[in-house]
Amino acid sequence: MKISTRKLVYISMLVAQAMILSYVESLLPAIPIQGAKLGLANIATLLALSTLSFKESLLIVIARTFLSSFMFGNMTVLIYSLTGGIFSLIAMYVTLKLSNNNFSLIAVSIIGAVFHNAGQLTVAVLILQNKNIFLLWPYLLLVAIPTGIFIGIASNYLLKYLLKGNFNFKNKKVRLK
Amino acid sequence: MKKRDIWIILGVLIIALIGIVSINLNKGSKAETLLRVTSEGKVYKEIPLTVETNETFTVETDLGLNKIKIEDGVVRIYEADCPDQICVHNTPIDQISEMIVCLPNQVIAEIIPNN
Repeated sequence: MKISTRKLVYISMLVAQAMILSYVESLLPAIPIQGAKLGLANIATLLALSTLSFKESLLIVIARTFLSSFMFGNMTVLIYSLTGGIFSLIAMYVTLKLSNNNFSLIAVSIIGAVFHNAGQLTVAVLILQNKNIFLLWPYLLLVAIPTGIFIGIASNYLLKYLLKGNFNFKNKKVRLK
Repeated sequence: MKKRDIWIILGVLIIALIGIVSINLNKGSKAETLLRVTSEGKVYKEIPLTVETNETFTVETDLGLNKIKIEDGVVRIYEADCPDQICVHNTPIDQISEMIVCLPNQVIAEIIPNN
C-alpha cells in the first residue's frame, strides 16, 4: 500500500478524531439502556468509507479501537469494540456499495449501528455463555434509529467540507447526498 | 436524507417493535420470579424475588467486583470497578427477562421465571 504524505496525515487525523470523539462520548451522560451509546466515533468510519478505500478504512478502525482501548479501557473492552467496529465497517461498506447512491449516510450509519450491536451481542453471548443477552437487541435497534440519524447528518456536514478541501482519495467522484 | 432512507428506518423500527412486543408478551404471566446472578458463565447466586426482598451482596472475582442491591424486589448494581460503569447506570430491573450485564467483569443479573 503506497501512501502519499497528504493521505497519511488525513488517515492519522481520522484516527485522532475517532479517539477524541470516543473520549468526549465517555463524558456525556450514559443512555440508561444496556449497551446503548451515541457512537460518535462512527463519524470517522463513515468519513473514511466515503473518501478512502476499504483497506484504509479497516486500518483506521483497528488503529482507533486499539488506541482507545489501551488508553480508556482494558482487554475486554478491546475485544468488544474491535468486533463491533469490524462488523459495522463491513456492513456499512456493503451498504454503500450496493446502495448505488440510493441511500444517504443516515441509512448507512443506522445499518452500521445495527451490525455494531449484533457483533457485540454475539461476543457477549460467546464470552458470558448466556443466550438471553440477545433479548437486548430489539431495544438497541430502537436506539440505533435516532443515534444513526444524528451521526449520519453530522458526517454529511463534515464530508461537505472535506470534499471542498479536495480530501477525496477515491478514484471516482463522491456525490453528496 | 433520501427517500429510500425511510425504508431502512421503517425496517429497523418494525423489527425492533416485533422483538419488544414478543419479549413483553412472554413476561405477561405473573409467575414467581427468580434473580439469577451469573459470573464468568457460572451461576453465582439465585434469589427468589418478591416485593419484600431486600438484600445486598457483592460478586467478587479476579476480573473485578460488582455490588448488587435488591430493594423491595427491584434489583440494581450500585457499585462496580469496571471502566465503563454501564451496569451502574443501567435502569433497575424487576420484570422477567430484564437483565443488567457487566461485560468487563462478566457478571449478569437477570430475572427469570421461578420453576
